[in-house]
Amino acid sequence: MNYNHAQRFLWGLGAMTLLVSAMPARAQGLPEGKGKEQFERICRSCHPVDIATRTRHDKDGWTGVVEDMVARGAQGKQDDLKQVVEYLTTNFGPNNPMGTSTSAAAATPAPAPAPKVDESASKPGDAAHGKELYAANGCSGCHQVGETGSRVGPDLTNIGDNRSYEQLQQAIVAPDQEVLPENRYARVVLKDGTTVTGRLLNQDGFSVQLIDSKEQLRSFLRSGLREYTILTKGLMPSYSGKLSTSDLADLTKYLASLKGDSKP
Amino acid sequence: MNWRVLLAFVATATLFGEVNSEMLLNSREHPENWLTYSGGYHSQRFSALDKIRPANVKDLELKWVWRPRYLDKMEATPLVVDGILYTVQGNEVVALDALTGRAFWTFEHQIPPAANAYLLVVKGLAIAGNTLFWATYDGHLIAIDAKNGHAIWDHVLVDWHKGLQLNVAPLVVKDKVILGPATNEYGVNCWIAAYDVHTGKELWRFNTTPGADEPGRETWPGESWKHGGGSIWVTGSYDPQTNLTFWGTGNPNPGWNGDPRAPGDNLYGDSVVALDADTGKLKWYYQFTPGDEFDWDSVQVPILADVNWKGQPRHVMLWANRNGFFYVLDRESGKFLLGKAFVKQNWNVGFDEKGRPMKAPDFKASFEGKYIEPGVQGGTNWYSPSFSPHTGLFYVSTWDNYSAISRKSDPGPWKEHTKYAGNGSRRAPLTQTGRINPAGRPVSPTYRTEEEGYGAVRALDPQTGEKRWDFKMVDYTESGILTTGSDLLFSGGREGNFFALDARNGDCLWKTSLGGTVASGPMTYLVNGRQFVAVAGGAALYVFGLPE
Repeated sequence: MNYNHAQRFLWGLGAMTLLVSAMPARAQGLPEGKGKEQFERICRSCHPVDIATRTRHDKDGWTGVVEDMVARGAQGKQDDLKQVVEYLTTNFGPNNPMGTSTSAAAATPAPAPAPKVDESASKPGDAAHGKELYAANGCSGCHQVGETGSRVGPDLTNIGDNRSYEQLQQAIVAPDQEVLPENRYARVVLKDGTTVTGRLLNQDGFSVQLIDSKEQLRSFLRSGLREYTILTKGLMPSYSGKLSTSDLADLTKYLASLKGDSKP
Repeated sequence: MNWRVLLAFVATATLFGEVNSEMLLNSREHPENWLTYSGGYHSQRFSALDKIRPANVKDLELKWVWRPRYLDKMEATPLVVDGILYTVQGNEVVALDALTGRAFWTFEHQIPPAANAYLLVVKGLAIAGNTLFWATYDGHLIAIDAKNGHAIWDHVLVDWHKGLQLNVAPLVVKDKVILGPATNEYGVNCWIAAYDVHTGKELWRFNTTPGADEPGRETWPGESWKHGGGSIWVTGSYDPQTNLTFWGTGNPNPGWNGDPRAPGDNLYGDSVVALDADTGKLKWYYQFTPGDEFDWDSVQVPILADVNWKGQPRHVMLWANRNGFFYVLDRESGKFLLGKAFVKQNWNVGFDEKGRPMKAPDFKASFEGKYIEPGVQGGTNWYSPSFSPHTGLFYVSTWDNYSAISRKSDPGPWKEHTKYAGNGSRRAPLTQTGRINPAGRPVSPTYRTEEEGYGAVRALDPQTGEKRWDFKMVDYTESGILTTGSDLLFSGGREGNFFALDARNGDCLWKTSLGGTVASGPMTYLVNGRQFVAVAGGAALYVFGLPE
């Protein structure tokens, strides 16, 4: 959790506490469920959450609403935004009854989520061998799985939950194809010529926050920089041609097996 | 203390705390006070105060904070009259000691949470004599005794159940309090009206979507005029020389699908109207975006300025519109003098000789999605701009490199208290513009590049509309702008920063972080010879001053 998220989270906690005491009619009705925390934290910073829950949309509709909000400045990682969409679709989908407040939705239990289907189960590959390849190729030099590895690159602990088998395979052979905004790197050049590269954690008109290659949290005032560049590509080497077809399948299978709760 | 301030103190000594017409007319001579939403009838958000200067602004320190009992972001600009600060948030109006922040009284009016149509916000109050005016979100206009916080009268102007709301700070002109309602896309027709300051009786009304027999009705085909909207979201201005009051109007309904109201310009949507302040009669209008389908409300405060225009003194109106263009109009006749884009735009290929915009040939809402620049939030929005007679520059909070894919949907037949917007999901698909990331999604400001959108305080030369300088932020900004007699500019943004710039060149001279979005207009006042700057950040009001 970076500073910005931590701050918003604390605000969110404060908001929830205060809401219960000061504005019971406006938030007590939110149904419980996965994604509620993200929904309140991200959306609440601009508008009351009940305003979003007075309408009903299917998944495509809520995806559109959430993306529109991001275009207007809502802040969140793609995983968090995805959870917001899931939460809204589950609790405020076309089949949930309408009400003028959230209490109507709350009074009606949300339909039980469909049992998760492991889509990668039918895909080729040997996850155990993939794990060996992961270690042998030095992936943990940048990535973290559970407690192991570096925090500099994207955390892969839950990657099997968030990315499809095909997306994971593509990320190995053509990592530049899709770099999520929260995985962008930035390069700063200080006035004395020192260059620091790291994953971008936050920025505003006055300063920039990174985690550098030594996993140090760094903050720079823009006024002290000679150069500041956000790198949207070229963060990871392509393993195209470096792995055999079967090794690629094994590694992909291993990544697809990473679901966070199960031990890697 | 300069002589004007001294004179102002002398002039008001016998009327301490009371705001008469003379004070409102000559607010520039009373810079110790802040008497209207925009700081005066010309709405320049310019204060002659100069105790806080470029040389000492770095010493500014926090003096006090007012934390209301509500979490919604604060958009209100306070009023200050002779050392008393009046402001409003949520269900309450307060009178605070402007020196210490201690409350004299609190007035409460409970707004039903169900009245909320989007954001439970309020822009501020108005004052005449010893009476404050609060237009409440749920449709009341309440006159409050400024000395004790008691209601003098309370009239229901609109029924929120029908899809109307009030959130403007009213404007007092002579014995009238002027304001209008807004509809958050419920397709209810709106108006501007004047009410007697003493009784609340309605004295005149101008329909921003024309009635059945009114001029402008012909710009709405069929029955579409019955649900045309035309919201009033922000406060207008007043020109004592011509007795005209000017107001910006919101988008026609349904906002994102023009089919039910085509063909037609849909007056007086997205316009500025010039009304006789005594009668409400229309003197002139200018429509910025005829037949709009992208929510480009003209929800901007009209700035009135007296400038040298092509060698001649001229009374003009300066306007940076949500549609991305900066305009100069003659405020006596409404004549179009200049229109120039101040952000990236793709809808307008030029103006005809009368100032009517010529839309790009394919610029039409679609079910599949139309790529628009600026995006639906606009090149700017309701955020108060500023004009400094000292620098001669116009300052506006902008969103640049900002675009959207706008999709229309079938709004269906109009139904009471049901959204009548016609907007499909504004999803951003893969585009060729390079401004949408490869995942096909807009990017949070936390990780965004300048090419993907940024906010800025932008200084424009009103003579040409050309940019003089930018103060860039990563995130967009909803902050208003204040300029002062010492050529300081105060503003903030969604990043939570509040800062002072040199109004001449945009250099940042001081900054602090308020931890929450600055979505209000900063203002300034003087008490006991000391200048203060007040601004709302997040859900609190912060007041800064120099060390004693």
